[in-house]
Amino acid sequence: MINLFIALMWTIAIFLLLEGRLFKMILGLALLSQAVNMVIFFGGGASRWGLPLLGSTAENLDQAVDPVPQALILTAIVISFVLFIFCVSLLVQVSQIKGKSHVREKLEIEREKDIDQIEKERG
Amino acid sequence: MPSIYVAYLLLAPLFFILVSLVFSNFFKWQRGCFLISIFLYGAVLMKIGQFVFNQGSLVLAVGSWGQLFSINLYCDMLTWMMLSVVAIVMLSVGIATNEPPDKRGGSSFFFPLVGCLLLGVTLAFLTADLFNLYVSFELMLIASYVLLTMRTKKQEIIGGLPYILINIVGSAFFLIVVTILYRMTGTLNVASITEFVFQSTSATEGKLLGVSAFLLFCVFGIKSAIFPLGVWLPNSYNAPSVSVSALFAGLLTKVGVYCFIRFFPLLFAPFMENFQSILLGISVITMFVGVLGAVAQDEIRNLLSYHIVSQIGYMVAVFSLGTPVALAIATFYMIHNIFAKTNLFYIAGILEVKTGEYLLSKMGKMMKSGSFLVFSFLVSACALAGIPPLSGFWGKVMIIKELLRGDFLLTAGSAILCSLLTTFSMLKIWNEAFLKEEGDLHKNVVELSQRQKNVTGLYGASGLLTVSILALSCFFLYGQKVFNILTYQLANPYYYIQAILGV
Repeated sequence: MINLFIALMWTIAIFLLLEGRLFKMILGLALLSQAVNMVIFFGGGASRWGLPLLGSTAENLDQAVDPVPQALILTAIVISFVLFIFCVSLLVQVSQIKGKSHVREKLEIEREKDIDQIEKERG
Repeated sequence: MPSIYVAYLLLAPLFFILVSLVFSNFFKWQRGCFLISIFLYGAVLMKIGQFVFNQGSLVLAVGSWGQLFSINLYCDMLTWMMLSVVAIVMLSVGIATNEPPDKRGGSSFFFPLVGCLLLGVTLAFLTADLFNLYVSFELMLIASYVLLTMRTKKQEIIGGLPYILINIVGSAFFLIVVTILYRMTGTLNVASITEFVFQSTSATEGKLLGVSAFLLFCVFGIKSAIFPLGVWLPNSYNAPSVSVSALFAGLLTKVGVYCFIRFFPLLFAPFMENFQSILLGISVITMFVGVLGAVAQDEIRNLLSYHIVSQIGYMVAVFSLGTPVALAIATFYMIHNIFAKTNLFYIAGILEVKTGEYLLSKMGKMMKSGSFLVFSFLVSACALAGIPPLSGFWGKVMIIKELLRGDFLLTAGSAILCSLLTTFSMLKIWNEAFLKEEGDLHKNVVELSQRQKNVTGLYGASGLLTVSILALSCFFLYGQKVFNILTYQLANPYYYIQAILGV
């Protein structure tokens, strides 16, 4: 059940990223990092009912929760947080280019400008 | 203990980053510190080279948890060669950048970012742990995002956006692969996962390994710009400054190819035959898309970027063969490409300074500008196109021989055809920029003469790389011993397992 939910998160995240409008791309990025962290958590074997690792003795060590996926998630959260902030600042700058609000269309505007410039100078 | 030198390779860039952030207002001090740290890096590499040539490999178990449990840093001949190439390319960047490419109120963060890139690349080459590879990729990627979009013009940010977005998705895929492999094997140590893969027989494990192979192929393919995943490459290298684009062209895609050569034969050793036809097909398409796109370009940096894609096709083609020598050949070809491409980007920078243009149709008369530029361009272009006796010829001959030996006639034929087209596009640059008589040379004499002083750094960098190409060409003739060590170490996954786990 949770797998379907994570797959849905992934789908919505990629769909939003492909939308091309500023706010939707920001939402898509945030949702993507959340979805990846969910994958690591539920796929990596970190159970929700294990004993904490620090208080375990040698006998009940096999009931302790696995700390490695938690370390992986922490690292991934930190890295994706930095990436998210950087991407948001870039997307905001791109959205300030005059013209349409669609980032993809802005890409096309710039390419058309280059082609126009070349053709004008060729005469 | 000799393996501590591997740690020095990581500490040198780290200290450099800290020191250069202190000097963020003094670009010349930053550059001096960078050159000093590259020399220290090179010295440590020479010391490590002694051990690698005598014992074969060095392993450092970080944290002293024992080689089974800790993150291992592993330096064998492949890693050592790649790190020496990285050192040479970074030295050329240090020589070439005599002005800060970003001027924000006096402080420049170019060299700290290049230091971060150096740290990430070194860690990627040294690591023997899967999640550590992810961390090093992220380090390298974040430094490259900032370097790519460092200019203030908004229009130029647009070239970097597809790169950033596709790499974010690629990092997400990498994390899924790490999760799958960790859940199956209980370890993140690549050597332990390899042992597990050799012993695994069940069908579910096979399917999971197939899924993670596909995802890992996507991740490394995004990094190394294979055809369907490499669309971010061609139009993104014309925005940043000369040193940045040269550094990226030479280094970033080749980290992806290195990861293919290192990790794919280890992690998915029993499956390599299944991937062969798909990889060969993708490499043929990549070769053609790259070179046909290159021939059609007018701006010189776009042309060279399309070339990178086509040369990556060669490397993937020979990598997928699976014969013992194939991986060593791919390594040599990769090293030759790093030098040739970086040199060509520096030459594109010199051409821009001298003519004020990046468009080939407007350049001209560069034959008269000096014999060094002509010689340097000829060496790199002929090396890339595969003209004997330069290094590209030996690389392509070995690749085509291996393809013919495996009876892959279509791939070999397309490799030869793409070679011809590569020569054609190099001739295009030669005709348009050097031989043509029209063109707007010396449009504005005052402005150009003020920019002339930038050129000495670029000439120095180009000279260094030209010498490297020539040295590599001689090395192909006399470097049989290194080739044999490389073949022996790469062809057998058990060598890796034994070196790291000592089993």
